[in-house]
Parts: sequence; C-alpha cells; structure tokens
Amino acid sequence: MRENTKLIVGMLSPTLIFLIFLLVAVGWAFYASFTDIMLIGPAAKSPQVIGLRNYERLFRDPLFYNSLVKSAIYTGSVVASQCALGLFLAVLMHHKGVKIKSAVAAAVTMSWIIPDIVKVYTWGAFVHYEGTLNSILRVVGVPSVRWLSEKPLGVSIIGNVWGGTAFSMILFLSALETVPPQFYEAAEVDGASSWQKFIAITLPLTAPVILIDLFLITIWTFGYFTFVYGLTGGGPGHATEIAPVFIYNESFRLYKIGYGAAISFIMTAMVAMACIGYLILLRRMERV
Amino acid sequence: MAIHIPLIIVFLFALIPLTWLVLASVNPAASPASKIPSRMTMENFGRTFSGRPLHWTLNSLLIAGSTATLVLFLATMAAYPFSRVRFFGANVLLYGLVFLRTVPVSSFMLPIYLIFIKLNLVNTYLSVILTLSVLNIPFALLLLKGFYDTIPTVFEEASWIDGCSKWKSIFRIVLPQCGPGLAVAWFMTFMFAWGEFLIPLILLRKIELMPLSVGIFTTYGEYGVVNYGLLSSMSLLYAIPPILMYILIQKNLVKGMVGYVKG
Repeated sequence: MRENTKLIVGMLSPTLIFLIFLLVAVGWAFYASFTDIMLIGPAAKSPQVIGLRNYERLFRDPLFYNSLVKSAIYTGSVVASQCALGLFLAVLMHHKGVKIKSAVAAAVTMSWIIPDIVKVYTWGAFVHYEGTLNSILRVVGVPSVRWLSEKPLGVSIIGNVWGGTAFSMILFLSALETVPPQFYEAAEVDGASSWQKFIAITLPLTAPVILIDLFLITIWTFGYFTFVYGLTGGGPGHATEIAPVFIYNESFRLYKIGYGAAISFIMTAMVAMACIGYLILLRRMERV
Repeated sequence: MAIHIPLIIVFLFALIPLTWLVLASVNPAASPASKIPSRMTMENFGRTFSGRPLHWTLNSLLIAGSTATLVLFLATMAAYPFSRVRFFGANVLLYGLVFLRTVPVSSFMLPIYLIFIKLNLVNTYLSVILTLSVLNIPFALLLLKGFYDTIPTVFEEASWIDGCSKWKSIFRIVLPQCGPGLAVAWFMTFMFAWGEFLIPLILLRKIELMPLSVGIFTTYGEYGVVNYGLLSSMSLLYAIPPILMYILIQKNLVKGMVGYVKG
C-alpha cells in the first residue's frame, strides 16, 4: 500500500504542479480584475485596488453589450450551420453507392486541419474584393461586393463554417456507423422514404451525439479568437467584435488589462457553465 | 444519382480556397484572384527558407517540439495511476481534466499574460512552452489513459512477482506496449502547439521571437502591399505537419473522434 502511495504521488505531482500554476494564474487575474492595472504607464507598475468599479463599468459599457450580441449572432449561426451541414453531409455520405465519399471527406477535412492562421489568410483572400468569390459571382451576374467592409460578420460566419464543419461531419459519420443496417433494411421493406428513415431511425439513434456536438462547438465557437481577429480585428468599427476579440482589444490595444480581466471573468463564467452542462451530459450518458 | 449534386457543391466550396493557396504559392506575381500562373517558380519557397520566415519556422519547431516532449513526459507518468490504481480524488481530477480540455484558450488569455508579466517572463520561449504544456496536458493525459486501459495488467503483475519494482515495470513492460499511443500523443500535442496563435501573440511581442503563426499574421499587415506569393508559400509550409498527421491517421480518425468526445 505504501509503495502505491509513493508511486501515485511521484507520478502525479509534476503534472499537478503545472495545473496548480494555472490555478494561481487564474486567481491572480481575478485579483487584477479589482484593480486599475494598465499595460503601460504608472498604473502598470503600481496598480490600485478599485473594488468593483471594473464590473460596474462593464454593465454600463455599450461595447460590452455589443460584444455579447455579436457573439450570440456569430456563435448561433456558426453552430446551427456546422451541425446541420455536418449531419447532412454525414447522412449523404453514409448512403450506399456514393462514389465520391472519400474525396468530399478529404476536401472538407483538409480545410479544417490546416492551422487557424492559414484558414484566416486563405479565407481572407477568397472574400477579397479582387478574390475568387467575387469572380465566381461575376460569372453568374452578381456585381462585386467589398465583403470585409460591407458584410464582415456574414463572411466571418461562413468562413468558420468552411473551416470547421469537418468536426461535426466526422463525429456524425462515426455515430452513423453504429446504427445497425438492419433497421434501414426493415424500413425499406415497409416502403419508408429517405426522409422517413432519417426521422424515425437516424435522428433518434444519433440524438446523444448531436447533443454532444452542439455543446462542444458552442463552447469552442464562443471562445474562438483567431479566425475573427485575424480576418477583421473586430472591425470595421466594432461590427465583428465578438467577446474574445473585445477582451483582446480592450486589454492589448487600449492597454486596459484590469478591465479586460473583468470582462474575461464574465466570459469565462459563461463558458464554465456550458462546460459543466457538458460534463453532466457525459455522466448521464455513461449511466444509460 | 441526385445525392451527388450537394456533395459536389460542398466539395468545390471546400476545395476552391485551398486551390487558390496552392496556385498562389508557385506564382511570383500572385494576387487574391484565382488564376493559373503564367510562370510557375519556386521563388516564393526560396524566400520562405531564408531570413525571417526561416527564423520563424525554427521558432515554431522549437516551441512545438519542446511542448510536445514536456507534455509527453508529464502525461506518460500522470496517466498511469489513473489507469491502474483507485485513489482518493481520482474521479474529481478526471472530470477536472475533461473540463480543462473543453475550455477554450481565450479564457486563459488574461490570466496567462498577467502571471507572466508578474514573473517577468514575457518575451521568452519559456513562457509560451509552459503555457502550451499546461493547456495540452489534459488532452495527452486522457489519451494515454485510454491506451493504458487497453493493456492487460497480467504482464506487470508477473514482473512484480519476479522482483521487478513498479517504476521499472512501467518502463520495461507498459511503455513498450503502447509505443503507437506515445507517438500519437506526442504528434497531436506538437500539432496543437504548432498551430497556436493567441498565446504566442500575447506573450512574444518581438519580431525575432515569433513563431510562424504570428509571423504570417504580422507579414500580412506589413509594408502596405501584401506579398501573396510569399505568404502563400509560408502558409503551405506551415500547413504540412497537420496535413501529414491527417494522412497518417486518416483511417482511424472516425474511431478516434468517438474516443476523444467520450474522454
């Protein structure tokens, strides 16, 4: 028994030290959110404790509400599109006799696994005024649009669907493989249409995986900084300033890191609630 | 068949931006427009392998390589008790790890920056390597625990009877059996660290310390005129490790995803 204890302590402690370091950092930032600390200047060296003032200011800041609204639109649209498109693709590819399954899977997955900043750069060039999107639209008679200044949130959303749907698609493909093919064969004997088979067999049997997918991509999209920041920087104006970009801009462009820490804690509290919901879901599913 | 039509549309939608990237990388006069270059050269790649871009690539290799090695070292050890022994707090810790793996990086942006300012470690590789290690430990640990769980305990028990100590039995018996698992854990961590943008963006604010991600981003805004040829070749080079990874694990990706989600 004693040998076991020694073993556990010896093997776990290096990792625990790392995790405790992260906890200390979070605690320190929580303290900083009650100070007027700045990135530069005198308040960088000797910040003063100002109590709840950062949090009070936050709830009066129209830009904070702007970031919540943009985040809600952005996350809602991206999650709904990725989940629906991912499921649609997986169901189509699961059909017998589909010839181009692996080619489609490879192309969709390729735009997902490349590094974030490569996605940003490639998508930015695609929606550029002289870019490929406008030349395709010109062929069908649509005049060119300055997408990044006229429809910045829209192209950010579609860009994220382009670069992120593969996750849901692969997840649903693996879920569909667990559905016994006899179910579909029986339904075919009864003369069920494709739509009826989808509603009566596919959807109920993959429902838990769909729920998992919705939780995960909601959390990740809400906290996804790089794509929108790289594409628009939050602009033009504050048109695409979703929560993580708002935190970055307030902290590192306007130097208000104390204030940024306060926003960060509100955002993290929301993320943490969603994560706990996800854990409860996982726990329930293991019991079933 | 009719179901091919939406698949073909999605195929083209996914592929057209990537095709532009490849074409632009061999075009000395690249622009955002998609066109077959009148003259294909390796000029852009030549410039990617010299000066600043080369320096950034080496920085990325250093950061991702160190992170992956450190994480593998820590997670290989820490995953073992979770797989083999029942101990107080194991379940709470496991849920904590799944929780930590799910929280997005941006939630830690301010805490990480503030603590490294306090420690005076901003603008050091060490700060980035430590941060990326902490953030990737949960993933590697849970992955390795899964591998350990598949290895029967009888071999270890036999070695204990023969007088082998527990530490020794791990190195002699367990680790050699999960070689592929160790490789996957190392490579996946390497990939996450290789692609990371936000952490080096806030912690490495000097041009010579930047990894490729921040370097590409900085080059984009420089000089007013965007050099699409150079940026495309840099981006393609930067995308090679994940693409390689995809080719290697392609067949197991669908199965692996289920394991990932179930933790």
